[in-house]
Amino acid sequence: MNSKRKILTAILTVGLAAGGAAGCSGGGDTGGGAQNLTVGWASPPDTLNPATTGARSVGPLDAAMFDTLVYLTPDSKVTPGLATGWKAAPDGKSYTFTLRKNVKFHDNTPFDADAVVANINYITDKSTQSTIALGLLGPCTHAKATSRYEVKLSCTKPYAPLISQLGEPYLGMQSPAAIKKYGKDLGQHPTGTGPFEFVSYAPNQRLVVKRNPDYQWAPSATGGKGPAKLDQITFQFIPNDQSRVGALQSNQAQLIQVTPGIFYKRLKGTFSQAPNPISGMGVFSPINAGRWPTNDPAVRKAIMYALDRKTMIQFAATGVYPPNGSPLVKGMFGYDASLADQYPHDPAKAQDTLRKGGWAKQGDGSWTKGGKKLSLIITAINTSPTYPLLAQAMQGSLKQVGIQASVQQMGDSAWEDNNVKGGFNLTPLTYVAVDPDALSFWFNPGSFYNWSHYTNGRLTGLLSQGRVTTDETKRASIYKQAQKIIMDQAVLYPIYENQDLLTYSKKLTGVSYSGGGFESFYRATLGR
Amino acid sequence: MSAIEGTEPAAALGGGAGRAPGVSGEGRAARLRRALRHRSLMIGVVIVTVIVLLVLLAPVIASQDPIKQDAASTFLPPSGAHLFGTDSFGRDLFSRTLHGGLYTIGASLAIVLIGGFVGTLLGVVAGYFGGAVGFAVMRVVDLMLAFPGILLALAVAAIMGPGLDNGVIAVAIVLVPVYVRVVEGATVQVRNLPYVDAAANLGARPWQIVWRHILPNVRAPIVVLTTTWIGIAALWIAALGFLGLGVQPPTPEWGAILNDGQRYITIGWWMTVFPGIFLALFGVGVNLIGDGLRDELDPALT
Repeated sequence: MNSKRKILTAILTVGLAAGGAAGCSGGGDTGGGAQNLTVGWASPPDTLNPATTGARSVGPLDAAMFDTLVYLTPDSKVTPGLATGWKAAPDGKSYTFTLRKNVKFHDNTPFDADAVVANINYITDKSTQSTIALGLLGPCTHAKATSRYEVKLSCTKPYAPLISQLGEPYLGMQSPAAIKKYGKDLGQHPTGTGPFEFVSYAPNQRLVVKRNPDYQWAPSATGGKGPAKLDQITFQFIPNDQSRVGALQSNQAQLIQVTPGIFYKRLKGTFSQAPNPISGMGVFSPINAGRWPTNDPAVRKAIMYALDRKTMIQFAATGVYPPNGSPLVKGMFGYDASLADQYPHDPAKAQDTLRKGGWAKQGDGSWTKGGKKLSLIITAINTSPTYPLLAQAMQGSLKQVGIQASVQQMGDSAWEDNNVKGGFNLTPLTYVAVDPDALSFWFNPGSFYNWSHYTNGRLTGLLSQGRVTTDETKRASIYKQAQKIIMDQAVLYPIYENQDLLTYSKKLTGVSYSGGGFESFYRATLGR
Repeated sequence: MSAIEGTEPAAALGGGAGRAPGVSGEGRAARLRRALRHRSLMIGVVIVTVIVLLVLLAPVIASQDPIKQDAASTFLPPSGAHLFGTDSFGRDLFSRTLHGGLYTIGASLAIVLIGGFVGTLLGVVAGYFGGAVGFAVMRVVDLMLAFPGILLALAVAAIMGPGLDNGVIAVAIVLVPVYVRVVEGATVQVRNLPYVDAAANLGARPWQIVWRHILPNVRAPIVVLTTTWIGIAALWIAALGFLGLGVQPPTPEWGAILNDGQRYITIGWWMTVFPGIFLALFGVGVNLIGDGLRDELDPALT
C-alpha cells in the first residue's frame, strides 16, 4: 500500500515537473506551468480608480496595475520610477521631472509629459472628487509639460512631503486616453503602465489581472527586469476572517492578507509568512480633548498610564503586533524612540495623577470630581473585528484603576460622523502615511482628522514649518518636537505598529512591498 | 382570576364551537393531571426550569466575574477551573454563559410582555369596536406583517442605535402585529355571539364586556402565542446581539457570546458550543411548552 502510493507520487511529480519545464521553455505562455495566483483579499475596493479611492486596501491592487513617478523602497527611500530624475527649484516651489522614454500604457497610449499633466489635471478637477490622491499632492496642483519628456510640477508654497508621496499608488499614472474615454466609469477600466493589466472586475467578488508582456520599465530598486513572472493574479475578496483562512488552507487561495492574529500564530510553519509593515501612525487612539472628562489633562495622562498596550495587543491579536509608543511608527522619517518610554503602563501612577488632578476615589473604586463620576465613552468601528476587541481591552485596563468606560460599536459612516462631532473619549483606529506631515492632518485646527479636538499654536507652527523645511536634519528635529508636544499633552495613545500579516503557500516566493507597505507581486513566482 | 374562572360564556363558546366537548367542562385538577401526562409539555417544563434555575443561581454557582479579563488565561479549553473554557479575553465562559442567560431570557420575557400587552390592547380595540378605527389598525398591521420580521427588527434597532433596551423595543414592535392579528380575529368571533349582545342590552359598558366576556375567551391563543414567542424572541435578541446591535461589550448575552466565539470557531469550539447549547435548549424547551399548552388549552387550534 505504502510503496504503491510512493510510486504514484513519484509519477505525479515527474509529470508535473515535465509540465513545468514545458511551460518554461514555452516562454511562459499558459500551459502546464501556468503561473496563476489567487489571493484572498480582505477588503472589497470602493473603486479601482487610484485618483478617487478612499481606501487604503486599494493601494496594493492599484500598485499591480499602475506605476508611479517615483518608487519607494521598502524602507521608504525615494528612487526613480516613471521619472528617471527630478530637481527641486531653489525656492522649493516647483519640481522638474525627467520622464522615462519608451513607456506605454496598457491601451498602447505612450507615456509622456502630456500624460502626467492629464493625470494632475484629472486629480485636481473638482468633478473628479479625489480624496487621498488630492491630499497627497498638497499645494502642488499645477503641472506643465516643458518638453516631450520633461514636466514641471508647481506648488503655491514649498511642500517637502511631495516627493515621497508621489510614490504612493494613489498617484499612479493613468492613461490619458482612458481618462477621456471612460469619465466617471474609469474605476471599471483601470489602465496604467504597471506590470499587470486589468482583465475583469466583479465588485465585491474578484479582480483579475494578467501579466503585461511589454513591461520593460520596472523601477531598478525592485531588483527586477522585464515582465512579471506570474501569468495571472485573481484577487478574491473575502472579508470574513474565517473564510479567508479557510480559502488558504484549502488552497483555493495561495496567499491571504490581514491574517487574524491567532491564525497568524497557528499557521506558522505550515505556510510562509510576512508581516508587511504599514507606515504612518500605526494603530492608535486619539484622546478627545474637546469633551468631558478628557478635556482635563490629568484624566488624559491617567489614561496614558492606565492603558496597557501589551495586554491590548494580546487580547485583540494574540500579541502578534509590535507595540508602538510614539505618534509616528518606527521607520517613519522623524520617528523618536525616546518617546516610547514617556508613559509606561503604571496603574499606581495613573491613580496618583488623578488624585493630583483633584479627583477623589470613592468607596466603590470609582473617581469623582465636582460630584461627577469619571466615565468614558470608547467607540469602535464594527466593520473590522480588531477595533471592538481593542476597545474592550481598553475598557478592561481602565477598569483596573477605577475608570468606568462604555464601549459603543458603530458602522463606519456613523463612527466617522461621531468622531468629527467629538461624541467619544477614546476610539482605536489606524492612519496610513509615508510622510510625517500626516501629523498635520491630525492636529491642525479645522482639519477633518482633528479627532483629538486639540490644537496648540506651537504645534501648528512646527507642523507648518515641517511642510516647508527641506533640510533633513532640521525637518526631523521639527517632527520630534511636534511629537513631544503631542505626548506631553496626552492627546493620543499609540498602541501598535500596523502590519499587514501575509500568510502564503511555501510554493510562492518573491512577494514584497513598496514603501508604505503596499504589497508587490511583480517578482512573485509560484514554484513546485 | 375570578373573572376568568367564573365566566359562564367560556363554556358557551366551547360548546358553541362544537369541537371540544369536555375540555371546558373538566375541573381544574383534572386538567392539571392531564397536562402532567402530556409528554412534550413536561419535557419542555423540565428543560426550561433547569435552565432558568441555573441562570437565576448564576451568582452562586458561577462565582467567577463574567467580565474580568485575564491575559494569562486566554483560549483555555474546558477544564475543572473553567468548566466551559475561557474566551479571547481570558473570561470564564461558564460564568459568562450563566450570567448571559439573565439578559437573553429577561429580554425575551420583556419582549413578549410589551409586545403582548400592546398587541392585545390594539387587537381588542380593533376587533370589538371595528369601524374606521379597526380598519385603520388592521391595515397598519397588514403593512407591518408585510415586512420580514427580522428585517423590521434590524431596521428599528439600527435607527434607535445599539443597546439591549432598544433591541427589546425593536423585537417587541415586530411582535405587536402578530398579537393584533390573532386577538382581533378571536375578538370578532366572540363579539358576534348572542351573550355579548345580551350583556350590552343589559347595560354593560364596553370595557366591562371586553374585560369580563371577551378577554377570557381570547386567553388561550394569547397564552399559546406568548409561550411560543418567548423562544423566538430569545433567538431574535441573540441575533441582534450577534450582529452587534444588542447588548454592548463586555456584557454577556448569549448572542454576543456566540459572536465573540464565532471568530475563533476553528480554534476553540467551546466558545460557541456552550452558549449555543443553552440558547438552543431554551428555544426548544419554550416551544415544547407552547405546543403542549396549545394542546391542553385550545384543542380547537390544533
